[in-house]
Amino acid sequence: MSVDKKILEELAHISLEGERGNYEIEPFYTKYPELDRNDGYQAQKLRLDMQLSEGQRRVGFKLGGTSLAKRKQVALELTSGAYIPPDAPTVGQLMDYMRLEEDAELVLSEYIHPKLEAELAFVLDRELFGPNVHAPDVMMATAYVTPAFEIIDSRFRDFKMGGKADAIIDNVSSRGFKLGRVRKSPFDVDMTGMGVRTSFNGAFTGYSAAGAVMGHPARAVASLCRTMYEQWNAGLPAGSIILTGAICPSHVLTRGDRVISDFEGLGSIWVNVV
Amino acid sequence: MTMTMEEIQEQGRLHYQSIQAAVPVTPPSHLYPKMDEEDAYAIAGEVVRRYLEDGYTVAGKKIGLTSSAMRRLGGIYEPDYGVIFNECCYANEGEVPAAGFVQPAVEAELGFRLKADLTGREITPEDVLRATEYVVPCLELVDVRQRLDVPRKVFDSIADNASFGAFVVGDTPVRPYAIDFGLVGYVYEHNNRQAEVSCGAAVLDHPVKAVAWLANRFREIGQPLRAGEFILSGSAIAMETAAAGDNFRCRYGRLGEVSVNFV
Repeated sequence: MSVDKKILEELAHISLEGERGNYEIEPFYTKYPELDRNDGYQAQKLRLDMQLSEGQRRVGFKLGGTSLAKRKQVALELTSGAYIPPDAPTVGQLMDYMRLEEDAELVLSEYIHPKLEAELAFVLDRELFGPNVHAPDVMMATAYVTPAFEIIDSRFRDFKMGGKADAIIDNVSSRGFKLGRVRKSPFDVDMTGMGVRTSFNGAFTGYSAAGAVMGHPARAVASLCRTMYEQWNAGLPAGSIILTGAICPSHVLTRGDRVISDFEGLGSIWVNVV
Repeated sequence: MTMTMEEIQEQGRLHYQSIQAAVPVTPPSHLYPKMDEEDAYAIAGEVVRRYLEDGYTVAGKKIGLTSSAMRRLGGIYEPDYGVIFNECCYANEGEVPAAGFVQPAVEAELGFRLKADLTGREITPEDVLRATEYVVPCLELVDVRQRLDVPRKVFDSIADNASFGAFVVGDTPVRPYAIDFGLVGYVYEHNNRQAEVSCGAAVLDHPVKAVAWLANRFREIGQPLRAGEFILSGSAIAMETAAAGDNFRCRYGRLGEVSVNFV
């Protein structure tokens, strides 16, 4: 551990305050270029503990950087010199207050500069723990998969995440999510070839398939499980909701948008932005 | 029409020679900057005439530039089309000599086998489905015959028979109403690494809409699409260039997979 815990605590606090107060914060890596991935996860744990101590509940996890399209987008647009290794997606925590109910609208003023991603969500019916968890273990432990929207809202100015730790400290931009209505066993859908298309205000903007997520989204959940084990000696509790990462590149939201994503064999999910 | 018949015939001859000898040709728009779409299709017509003279038989048509990804790559906004030949069709998992191509690349799309003519009034996507015997996944082996060291325009691609090189046809067909082709997922791999992922809607919002577009183009010029024609409806992914030793594979969800090896 290269960095004083006090500094990590301070950065976690700044990120959390940005989220609560709905304002942009300055990047960390310019001031602390030495921060690495492990520092990032330690700070993220401190951030989670702050939230838990206030009575908030963790309901699941999210993965970032799991799709080729998203990695290309991050590399092109979002980061300042951050390297996202293809085999190590980043992990964030989902809290109870982040969930939008099925008929809820997305109120733009409650966010800083939100973007939306269409993803496949897993809900576990038993715990996954340890270094020896792989895709088939995930399949066996999954109650159902369902379409999901994730709302990402980096606290960093202009969504610019730099260095190896900034995004991780900032809970990987996690801010909201919504789940679809159709639930199926992962054995009853095509986890690779399931087509997914997204339309904004009636015009298609995203064309992809579930296999965009690491070739098979269950691999992403296994990777999440191993990351939580390595970083925190923790597992994925039964009941966890896991967002496996954007299938298509993320999309900026503006007032009046109506977004719909169709998942082959798994129904549709929609949201109105007000 | 801005080019003379002699110029068009000469360009047709040069392009066909390029196809047969696998040597690059200069994009005609470089020589005839004012050339228009009509000139381009006339040159392609000359190319097709020469294929037929050499004993090739028409399999059907291909639609190009249907995906927003491909149009972005080409900086253009309209689909185009070319003619495809039975003698250029390979079976699934086939081996294809790269030396037969100038600059090969691979696209993934759906093929439609028609069982009825598409004639009469404005053709709708529903008309296309009614006239379709089956749909099958395909790889198209595109060949860019024209030099890349000078700018290429969409008319150049049209003149080059829409860059048609060859195609690989999948094994298992489906009936037209069995699946929503707009939601077929495409997982496209180059040498066993994922290169791109897409779905059917990337093709003009729906592959059936692309075939309807083509049917209307040919209906308007009095040469409607006929029963028995095989239509390559356009790629849902941006093409990857190919070389000897390369393997390409696309998995099309419930439609199965198609692969090709360049040797």
